[in-house]
Order: sequence, then C-alpha cells, then structure tokens
Amino acid sequence: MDDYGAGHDATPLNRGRRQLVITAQLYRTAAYMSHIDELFQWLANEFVHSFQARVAQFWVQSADRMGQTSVELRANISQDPALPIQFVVNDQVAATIQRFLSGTYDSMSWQVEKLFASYQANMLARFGVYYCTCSFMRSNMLLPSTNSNAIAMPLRVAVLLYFRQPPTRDTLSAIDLILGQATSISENRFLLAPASTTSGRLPALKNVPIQQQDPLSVYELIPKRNEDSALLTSSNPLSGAAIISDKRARRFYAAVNDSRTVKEICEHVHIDVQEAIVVLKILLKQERIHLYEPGGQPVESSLFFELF
Amino acid sequence: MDQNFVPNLLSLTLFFVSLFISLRAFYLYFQARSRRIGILAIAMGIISLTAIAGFAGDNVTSISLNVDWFNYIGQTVSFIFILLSFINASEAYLRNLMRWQLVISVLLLALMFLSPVLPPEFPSPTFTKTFLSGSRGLICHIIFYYYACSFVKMETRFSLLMALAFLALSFGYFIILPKYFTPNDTLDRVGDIIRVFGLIVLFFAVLLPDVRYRRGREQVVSNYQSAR
Repeated sequence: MDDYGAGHDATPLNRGRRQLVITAQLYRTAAYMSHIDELFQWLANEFVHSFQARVAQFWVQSADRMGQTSVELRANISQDPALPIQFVVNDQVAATIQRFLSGTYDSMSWQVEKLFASYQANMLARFGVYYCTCSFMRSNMLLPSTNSNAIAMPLRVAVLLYFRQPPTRDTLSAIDLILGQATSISENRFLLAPASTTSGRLPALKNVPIQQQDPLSVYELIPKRNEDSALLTSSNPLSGAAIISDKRARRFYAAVNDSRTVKEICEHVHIDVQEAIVVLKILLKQERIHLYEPGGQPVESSLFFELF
Repeated sequence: MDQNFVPNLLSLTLFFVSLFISLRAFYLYFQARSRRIGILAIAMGIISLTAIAGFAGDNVTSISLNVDWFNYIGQTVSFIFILLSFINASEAYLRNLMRWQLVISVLLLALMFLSPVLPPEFPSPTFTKTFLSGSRGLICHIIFYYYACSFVKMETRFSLLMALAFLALSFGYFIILPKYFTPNDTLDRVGDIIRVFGLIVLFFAVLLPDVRYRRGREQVVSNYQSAR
C-alpha cells in the first residue's frame, strides 16, 4: 500500500491523487456494504493506513425516546495495537465529542494537551500521539437507530483522528472531501428520508449558536472567587451557610486564586475534566465563583450549563 | 467582692466568647474556604489568647508575666484585621491580608512567649497605653459604623446585634481612658462591665439564626447549621 504519510513528504500532486484514489475505492467498495457501520470501519481503516493516523474514530450522535442525546463509538481503528483503548475511548472523549456534535463546528485541529488532561496527554504522547483533528459528517437524512430505545435522527458524526505529526491543511482538506463523498454515499444507501416526512418522531435539536472559532474548552476557563460581600456584615458568617459540602468542590475552590485556569487547578487537585465540570456546576450554582475566558470576557453561568 | 472580680469576669468572658467564635470560624473555614472567615478565626484566636494571658497576668503573682504588651498590641492588631477584611472582598486583597495576618500572628505569639522577659512597663506608659487602648476603642467604633450601615441597608438581626456589641465594646474602651492619667477604679469597673455586656451581645449575635426585618415581620434568611 502506498505510504502517503500525514502529508509531510507527499507532493501536492500526490496528495490530490491520494484523495482521488480513496474516493474511487470508496465508491467501488460501498456498493457491497449493507450497513453504515461498514462504511465507518472502511473509512477509519483508510485514514489510519493512507493518512498515517495513529487512531481513527467515528462517533455518532444518537437520541433516546425521551429526547436525551448521547454519543456512541461506531468505529475505532488503531495503528498500534499496544495503545490502550481507554486512553482514546473514555468519558472525557465522549463528553468532548458530545459538545462538538451539539454545536455547529468546522473541522478542527489541536495538540492533545490542549484538549485532554495532562495525564491523558502524557499517556498518549508515550504512544506517539501528539495531535488530533475532528471532522464531521452531517446530513438532514436520518440515521436508523441501532436499538429499540433509540430513535432515528439526522446524521451527526464526528471523526476523530490522532496523529504523531501535525496534519497539513491539505491533509485536512482531503479528509473533509472524502467525508463529504461518504456522506453522499450514506444518503443514497444507508439513511432514511428527512425529518419533515416522519410526523415529528425526532427530538427537537437545541439551537446552539454557531461558533466560528475553536470551541470553548473548559480547560481554558479561569474561575474567579465570588466572595460574598455581605458575609461578616449582614449575614452571620458562623451560620454555616457558606459551607461547600462537596469535598472535591471544596478542594477545587481552595485552589482558585483568580489567575489559574481550570486545567492548572485540575492538575493541582488531581481531578479530571469530567469531575471539573461537575465541580464547576456545583460552585456556579452556589455562586461561589464566576467563570472568565482567557481574554477576560465573563462566561455566563447559563451558557456554561448549556454547553456542558 | 474581690477587687479582681470584674477584671476576671471580663477576661474570662472575652476568652470564652472569642474562643467559641475562633473555633467555630476555623471549622467553617476548612468547610467553606472563605478567607474572610479565616481572617476572623485567626483574629479571634489571638484575642482569646490575650484574654487568657490577661487573666493569668492578673492572678498569677509568683512570677511577673508582663502580658500588657501582648494584650494591648494583640487586641489592637486583631481588631484592625477584622476591620480590614470589611474593606475589600476581592480574592487577591483577602489572600494578601490573610498572609500578612499569619505573619503578624506568629510575631504576636512570639511576643506572648517572651512576656516574662519583657519590660514590666511600656515606655511613656500614659501615652502608650492611652494610644493602644484608645486605638481599640476607635477601631471597634469604626466596626460599629460598618454594622450600623449594614443594618440600615439589609435590616438583619445579625447586623443589629453586632452594631450594638461593637458600640458597647468601643464605649467600654473609651470610658477607661482617663484611668491612665488619673487612677479611677469606678470608671475602670464601669468600662469593664460595659465590655462584658458587649461580649454577651456578640455571643448571641453569632449564635442566633439570621433574621431579616421587613415591615415589622420577621423573615428567617437562613437557618443555623450545626457542625457536621
């Protein structure tokens, strides 16, 4: 098989040729596929072998009959069998994907340490994983549900690829084009008729504002203490009303110094991003902290609850 | 009645009230991580130590303890820190204030342990004692104004009782000032009794649940939560 790498050694001509070859193979192979999961598996395999991705994942958004959305991993291919699956398939990754799929984002690329906790980023680095990209497959046609508790909903797929070296713009464009072709194939072969013809079976999707920039990472936020100015003057400080009953929230709050980011505080108190989100919600509810973006812009508590 | 009865009553009342507040505040500090509560805990802890040092100084006659240095300076500094914690609620300010308070508290503790070797009298005792005692009165009076303004704004029982307590404490400190110029036992006792009254009001202020007064109807703002 041709080794095109992540684009560093390939010429522009080779890169364009690679994308055409894969697309042609996709059309040929899709004719023999009976389920969309086979398409996902095939694409994940191609991304790993043709683009030298260390890991390729296809995450699909699904919904249950109550309208609760979640994500499920429909394909996961790893170049290195020794890479422990829990490093790339865990609650933190699922929560991140859920957030991406709830919004309307374009393809993105980061260093893993910007997206995951230091511990996880360090573990991934040991297996040669330093960068990751996220691309999307979207369609208004419905993806059939995989079990009786789920309902068909518009196709929303996040394609997460992990790399050793930073992928070039050409590589990302090629991936997007291939996924675009795959979406067309899915609409023709695997997806159901659009939502308007299904008598309101679908849950109403939340109207999340479109974000053109990188999504708001909880790790980048800066919590600042909201000391009650009436404590000691109007309200009795010894009444116990100021107690933070959750131990993790208490430790987290103690580490807040108005300049540390959530990531720095998590490393300080040894909690992961999931726990950090829970803790932040507790402290925001008790009005013990306010959240700010790195630029100093305050983050509305309601927006935080909506996004996370 | 023993002539030390009223001073002893004052020392012990101050000791128990400030110790109660300090211990409760320390417990809540570790549960709430509020720097204001931490500052209160340290300040009241130092004041309780000055009280028990004062009691020891008045009643232990076998050795001369010379606790006046620690008494006057410790109480003045502690009240100052309580007052300073009202001024600004920002995290950086309170963090720095607490750091300074810890450093100064260590120095005050050193002063307490060095009491037996300190000079028995202040330099220029009339002026120095008047200044230090008057400072306590002035600071308590300023704290009274903070609570009075708070009561006008929020109308809580806590702010009313605290205003009353600090008014009594400040008046108690002011009323004994003449004794440094001309000894006057009567004024001394009256001042001590007023301060005992202020401390009792202070105790009930922190013990009773928060209540907000609105057009003659009491409205419980929050319930007192017992220690877990």
